[in-house]
Amino acid sequence: MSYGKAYPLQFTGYGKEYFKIWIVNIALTLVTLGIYSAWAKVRTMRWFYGHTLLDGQAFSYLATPIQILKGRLIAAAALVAYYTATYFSPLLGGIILACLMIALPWIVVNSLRFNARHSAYRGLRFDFTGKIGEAAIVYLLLPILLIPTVGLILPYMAYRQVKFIASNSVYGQTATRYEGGVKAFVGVYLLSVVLMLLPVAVVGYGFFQMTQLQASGASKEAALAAIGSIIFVGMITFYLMLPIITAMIQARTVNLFYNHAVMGSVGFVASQRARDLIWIFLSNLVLIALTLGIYIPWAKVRLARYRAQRLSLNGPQELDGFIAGQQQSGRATGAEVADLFDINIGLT
Amino acid sequence: MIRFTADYFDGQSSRAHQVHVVVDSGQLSVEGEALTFVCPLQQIRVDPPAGQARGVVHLPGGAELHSSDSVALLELSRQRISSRPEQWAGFLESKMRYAVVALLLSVLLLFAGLRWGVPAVAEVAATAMPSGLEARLGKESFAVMERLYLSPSVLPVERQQSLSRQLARHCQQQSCPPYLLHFRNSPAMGANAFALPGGAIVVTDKLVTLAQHDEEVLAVIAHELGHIEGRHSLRLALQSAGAGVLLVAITGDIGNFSDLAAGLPSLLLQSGYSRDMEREADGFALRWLNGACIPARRFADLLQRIDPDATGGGSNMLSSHPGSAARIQPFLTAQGCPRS
Repeated sequence: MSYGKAYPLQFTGYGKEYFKIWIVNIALTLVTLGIYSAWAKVRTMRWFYGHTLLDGQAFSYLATPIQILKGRLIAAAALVAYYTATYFSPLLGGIILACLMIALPWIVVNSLRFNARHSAYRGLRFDFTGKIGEAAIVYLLLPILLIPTVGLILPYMAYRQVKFIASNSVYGQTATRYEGGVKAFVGVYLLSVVLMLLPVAVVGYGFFQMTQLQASGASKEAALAAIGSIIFVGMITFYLMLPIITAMIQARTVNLFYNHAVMGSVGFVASQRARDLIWIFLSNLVLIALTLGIYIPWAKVRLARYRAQRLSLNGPQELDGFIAGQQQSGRATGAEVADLFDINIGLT
Repeated sequence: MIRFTADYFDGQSSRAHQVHVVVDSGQLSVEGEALTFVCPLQQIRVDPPAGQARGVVHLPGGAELHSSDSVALLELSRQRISSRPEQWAGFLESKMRYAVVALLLSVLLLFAGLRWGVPAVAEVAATAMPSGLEARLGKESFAVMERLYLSPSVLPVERQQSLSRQLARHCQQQSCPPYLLHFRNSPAMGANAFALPGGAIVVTDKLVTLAQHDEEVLAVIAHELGHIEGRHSLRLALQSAGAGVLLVAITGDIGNFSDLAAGLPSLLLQSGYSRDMEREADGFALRWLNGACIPARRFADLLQRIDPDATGGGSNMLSSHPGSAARIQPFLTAQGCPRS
């Protein structure tokens, strides 16, 4: 098969439409003391999936509210147990947190699998075939090793996580290969180190200027004032750099994820840009703050639309040659634990 | 009878088949170029449409019908009981003015929940909590305070004992919750007193030396007894946990923004909650002082000495104590004790 045709991803939803769904979800969740949140999640997912089109066909979300509700109840029980325990005895809380850490690979794999198995395109489900053993290396061992290696293995860890998710994703029967290497990730993190050096350089230059000033016989007060303003400018550069670096890493990681993944006869082209993400994040943040949260649905739609715009597939002339794999559906517990404990697994 | 056009996927391959669907008398019939079949309605699952998003009908064996005809799909989903909760949601989403009502309702419920719901639940939880747990909690936080801020008192032992004795004597005639009085030196905390879960009351040396009369110290202790009587520190901790859970439940799916968004309201809430509790403890102190025949203005005197600005009035949003001037007013105007 040839890589004959480009299929851009499209997002067709509007903020106003989602606002109504969003606010009704919140109201009903409050009225039902949280029970409705399972239906709210399913409805939200269905709306976003149903508005994400590829080759004129939408994605479909298959999880049922009852599945989500069960998973949520178990996860909420764990969360309450954890908080009560830390509250009454930090030791017991620590033990529970340690258990959760040990269970993390299981949670990660189950979460990815549940989400994949309940996502479908053209009537075929996705699947995730990652093993708990590899998840333990990628999400437990490597993060622990960050400490003795003073963060030097960070690019390698990012690479392994991307590879773990990409190479274990399956659509129907079609598996995915990940062909990227660790080099590109080293580049991303080297760039962020360089960007981080900027505030350091600002402070260094300031101190150099100050010693010059002192050598030329300026007063002590002037020197102290200079130190104050140098540190101030340094801090500001630092806080400006943080979102820039976050957006840069996020955009490039997504691009590396898709651009080196090959699913059967299909390749991907992702072209997110850090500057676009920074603009979207910052302007969303400002508008959400100004509107006391009302803008949230529009913000989420904007981000979804940008992500869709920046992703396209290269594939055969027709996308109807994929066939189904064997499937069971699995439980939502892992996914909901990951959700409630705010464990960030996916890419974005 | 419901009719719509759809794309049919058999669940075996990714091929799309354009079909016409007719739903009539408990049957769903699908008609396309190369396929025609009938399926009883009991075997299908309909996802009620969300907005204008492409809707899905799940057929047995993983087959799906995709359609943009949200009117027909809504009609079809009405025939299935499992989709009922979402039909109410769908109804509310159908008009902007219903959505605005939902918004107002959410704001009201959230406000009421934080203002009254969370404190009420926390109170029930605090009462239900075994006192052993509370005592251990108090012990642990006391240990932390000792390590960070407190050192042994440098007050003469006689002075400490005299104050303890006076308090004990009053507590024989007055109802006092079980308490344990500690004197500690703490330059970091200045003139201060606080109550911990389980009944520990800590009074700093600076507060005792600032007092010009023993009854002033007793008045402050009476306020702390009020905190213990109401189990305030436990309730406050439970309340901030509860408010956190509530806010996260609402903003949980906002992702990146939730941390920022949840920070400020919880700070404001925290101070709001503790202001309620200060008022409650003040009320207790006022009754207690009256019962003990200690002039209530002793409390006001010491407070004014600690914070000379208090008479200037003005409450600031973020301080845990209600506007000091308003706060000491009842103590200044209190009637003498009934027995005198």
